[in-house]
Amino acid sequence: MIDAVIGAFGLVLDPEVVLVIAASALYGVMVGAIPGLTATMSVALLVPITFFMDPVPAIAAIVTTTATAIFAGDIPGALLRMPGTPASAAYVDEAYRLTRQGQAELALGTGLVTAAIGGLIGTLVLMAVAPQLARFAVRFSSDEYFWLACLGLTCAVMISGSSLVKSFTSLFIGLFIACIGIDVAVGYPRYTFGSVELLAGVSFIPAMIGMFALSELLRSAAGGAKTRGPEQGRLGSIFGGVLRVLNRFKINVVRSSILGTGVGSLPGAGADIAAWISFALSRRLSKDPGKFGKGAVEGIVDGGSANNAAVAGAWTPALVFGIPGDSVTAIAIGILYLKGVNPGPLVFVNTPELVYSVFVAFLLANILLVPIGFVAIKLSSRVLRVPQNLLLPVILLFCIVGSYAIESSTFAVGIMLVLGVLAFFMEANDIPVAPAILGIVLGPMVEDNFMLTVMKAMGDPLGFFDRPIAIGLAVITVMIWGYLLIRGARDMRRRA
Amino acid sequence: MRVDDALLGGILLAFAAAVVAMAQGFPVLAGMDVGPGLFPTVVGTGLGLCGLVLIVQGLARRRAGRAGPWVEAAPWMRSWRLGGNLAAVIAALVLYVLMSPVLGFHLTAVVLLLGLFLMLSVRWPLAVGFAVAVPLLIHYVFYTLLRVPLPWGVLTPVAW
Repeated sequence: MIDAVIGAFGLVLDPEVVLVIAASALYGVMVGAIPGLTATMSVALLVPITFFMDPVPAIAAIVTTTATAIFAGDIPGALLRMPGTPASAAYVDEAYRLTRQGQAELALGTGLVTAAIGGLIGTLVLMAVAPQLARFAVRFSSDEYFWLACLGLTCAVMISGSSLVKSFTSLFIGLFIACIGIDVAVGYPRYTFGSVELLAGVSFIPAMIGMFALSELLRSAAGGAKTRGPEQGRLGSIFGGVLRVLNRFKINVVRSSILGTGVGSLPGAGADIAAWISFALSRRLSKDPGKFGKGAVEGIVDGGSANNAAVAGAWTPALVFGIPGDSVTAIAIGILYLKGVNPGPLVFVNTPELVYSVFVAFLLANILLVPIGFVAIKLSSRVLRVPQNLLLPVILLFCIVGSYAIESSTFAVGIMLVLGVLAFFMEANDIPVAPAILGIVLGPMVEDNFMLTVMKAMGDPLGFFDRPIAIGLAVITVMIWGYLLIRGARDMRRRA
Repeated sequence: MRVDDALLGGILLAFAAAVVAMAQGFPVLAGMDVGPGLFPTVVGTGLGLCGLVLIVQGLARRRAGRAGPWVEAAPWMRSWRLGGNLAAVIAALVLYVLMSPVLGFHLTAVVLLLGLFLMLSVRWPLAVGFAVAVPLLIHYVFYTLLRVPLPWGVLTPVAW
């Protein structure tokens, strides 16, 4: 293990990788600070570029971009009351109140430092837990993977927040999209309607750019692009009062970082949910709950450290089981597959340096976050003034080139368009998009393990329950399904 | 555009039925009664169930008198400007797919950017500047650095 860690430092501290990390940090801060551009969108647009890199710099770029974009979402949140990413929404009111009281420096400085600490603690937890889990998971076979994937997808649906039926709808849409193309068992073309381009299936990168980036553009085009000037012109010393705040709320930082890592590692629950939960807990446990809603820096401490810790936590199930913890890790898993690395416990055995590179990249990204975030806060009034009507066509062109780049085909641009419009209509009807992306990424794996188990058992349904760990996972999954059914039925009776 | 849950469920149910029906036509594995159609059948059934639940929920809400209109118009359907913006973004993508194989990436990109900028009322000098600079930047990153074969189209004789 020590060799792998040293090897990982060697891989990550390569000048080219460090350059990639620095550039990604700048890019992440920029995109995260612009309201309406989410952290997921920033990763979606980055993917076509990472496709041409080696696995280590590619993963480093994704890790750094997410970590910095999640923090940068605090900037427009504090200055404009518009969270730059959904992860900052939980405490945007507290931050904005502080700004109105002339304490924007305190709000942003606290957000920055707690983000870095939260990210570091989350990474340490990830480093401690993931290899242990992987040692346990090496014994899994197709039965366990099938149930694990079902469990992961179910959690993803359960947590996604909107109506349960609509989340399941989204998941099944994603799984159906994954069925398009040549099937895994006998190579029979499914739902291609004679199209040669569709034989290879719906490519993941154009699908993801369409659903996360293009749909966002369509929404802002349809809603009217508006711009608003920041509340406050000049910012004073950023780190001035932060040390005192940190000292006073040091228990909050640790508590929320660990909580955030835990929430982040649940499939489907990402940084935004982690921030909401730890913000709610912060208010309940606070010695001074009356301050909440009037500019409580305590809420920023808790939310700010939890959301960045969750970013690291989300990588636990992604690396160990190949099951994404949020939409960003879903994208990252898609990229690893494209590079011929299959995330799962065997990665820890076969290419441990890759796993440790992820850890080192996280550490580096969170340390770099402090100086780069500092500059970003200083320049924020300029970033926030970039007009939407200039930005929208430019991002659209990046979407086009990004979809085109992987296979050099304009057909991919068409796929991006179709799925972007689909996602636009889904969101207009409260059907969340993230479960669909998980479905597209996990679909082939679920079907693979499903068919393998069916074939091993020669069609006997009991084949899904013949190994002890599989039974355990199956029981948990079926219990959750039962609970969901009962809850759904009760809701319906109450409503009728 | 918001569609009533019952109607949405109906659309999903019809789609799911088509998915399942097509899956029954797929071949089966030798010696077994399952094959490539099994998984799509499972997925289609799940989608159909979701559709059914949405229909039941939507109709229950309608009986209780709490349902909105069957189809509720979004702001972009009531405003020429917003509807136009949305149509322009989609049209730009369709035009790119049709034009780029002939005109090449560079010309298509400049034309589309300029069109969108002017439609979104960016001032002329700024619009022209960005419409030329952004494709050049993309050319440098994707064509020169990443070696993506962006098509030159009619500009092939002057390709660099």
